[in-house]
Amino acid sequence: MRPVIKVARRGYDIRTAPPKNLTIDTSKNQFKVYVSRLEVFDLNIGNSYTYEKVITHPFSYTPTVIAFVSNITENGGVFTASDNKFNSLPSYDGPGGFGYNPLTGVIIPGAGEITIRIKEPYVAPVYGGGDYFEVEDVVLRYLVFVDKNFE
Amino acid sequence: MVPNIRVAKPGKNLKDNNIEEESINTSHFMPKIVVQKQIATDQNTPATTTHGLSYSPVCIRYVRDYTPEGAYKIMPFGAIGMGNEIDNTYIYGYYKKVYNPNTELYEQPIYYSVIFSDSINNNKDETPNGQNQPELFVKSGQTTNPIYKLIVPYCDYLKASTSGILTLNIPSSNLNDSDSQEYSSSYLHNKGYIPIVAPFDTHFDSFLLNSYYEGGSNIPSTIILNNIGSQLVEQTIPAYSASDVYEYITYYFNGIGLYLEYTRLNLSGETQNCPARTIKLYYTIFENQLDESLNLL
Repeated sequence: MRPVIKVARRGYDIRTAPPKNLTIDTSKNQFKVYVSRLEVFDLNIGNSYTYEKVITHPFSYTPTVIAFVSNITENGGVFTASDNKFNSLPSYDGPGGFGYNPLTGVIIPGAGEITIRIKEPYVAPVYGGGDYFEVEDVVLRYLVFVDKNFE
Repeated sequence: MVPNIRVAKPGKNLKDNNIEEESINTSHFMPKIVVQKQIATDQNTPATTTHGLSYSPVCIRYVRDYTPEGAYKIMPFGAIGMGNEIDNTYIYGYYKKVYNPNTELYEQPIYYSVIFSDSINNNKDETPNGQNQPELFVKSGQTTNPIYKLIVPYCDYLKASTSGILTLNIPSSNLNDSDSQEYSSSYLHNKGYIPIVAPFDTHFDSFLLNSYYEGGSNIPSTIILNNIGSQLVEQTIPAYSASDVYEYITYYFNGIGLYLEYTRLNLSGETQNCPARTIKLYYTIFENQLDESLNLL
């Protein structure tokens, strides 16, 4: 007989609770984090306004990823990375200066690795943008799960 | 030595030391769900609501329309990056309005948020203490910091119920001018409630393939939807792109199943030979119920 750990929600009997009312049930796969990290970086001309984080993993598939990047605000032509407001990835945005997060962020699968790329989209002034900009202390937070996203 | 609890998946053996074959392994932390919120707004007001933590938490968000069964989807990023913001007080919900047949108005959809105790940018974790239930710590000497509570029975965890591949095979065919073809595929989970569903990063609802692949000239023969949000951003979110044949993909789920729909429409003025396509979605359906409100803080 295979051992199992089950915990029922408060108010439910472990012997009769339906699966959705079990907080833990090892007869099911629980999503587990393989690696979780926080990266802080600047975007400037030296890195072509692009930051790439390559995360290697041992899996034969592309694992599930949840990631967030700082929201950017603009005031008088100065761009600032928020220390408490974030956008989930993938993110896309149009021109800066409208109060939107002007960073794009994507998750790119590869053999034995995934790459998270954060960059500034160049938006021509005619479309409301205005060239690239420097910004400091941008936060990237990612959780890479053991569990498969796709192959 | 840090103690560790491991349980193998059914049919697997712990001796293989393969984390892919283990349903639980306390050397890998499991995000703890502490709040779930359902937010309905009026037709004009974006759904901004408090999450109850003092920091910006990791979260997953969905939207649903007003059809009787509901069409649920991961929160798309929208045209200008809206809808994906969270800070140390609020979850921001912005999305295009959807038609509500009950009010006959276009309204903000209903938003669902799954909020974890993990902070996005610091070491905080406001997993509540006590509640007179057992807890399991895995780091000695760190027992006062909730971040080291690996198993907190009064929090919820993501528990996979089923996973698989939803595939839609579209054959090549000659399509007369102004004609359209529709194809669909589904997986019926029949849970009777709305489950949490992965992938979490699709970030699209209905989309026009042609717009994202240069007028349809380089649409791949196999399209994997799991990473489509990043693929679309990499293609650069485009303006509307003229094409001979327009191809639409829609993906959603509800309390009965997962659905994948494809439509192509010929507006070229002449018969077109349409190539075959294969569309794949790798999915995981969790035991967790999305359409319930939880506050475990």
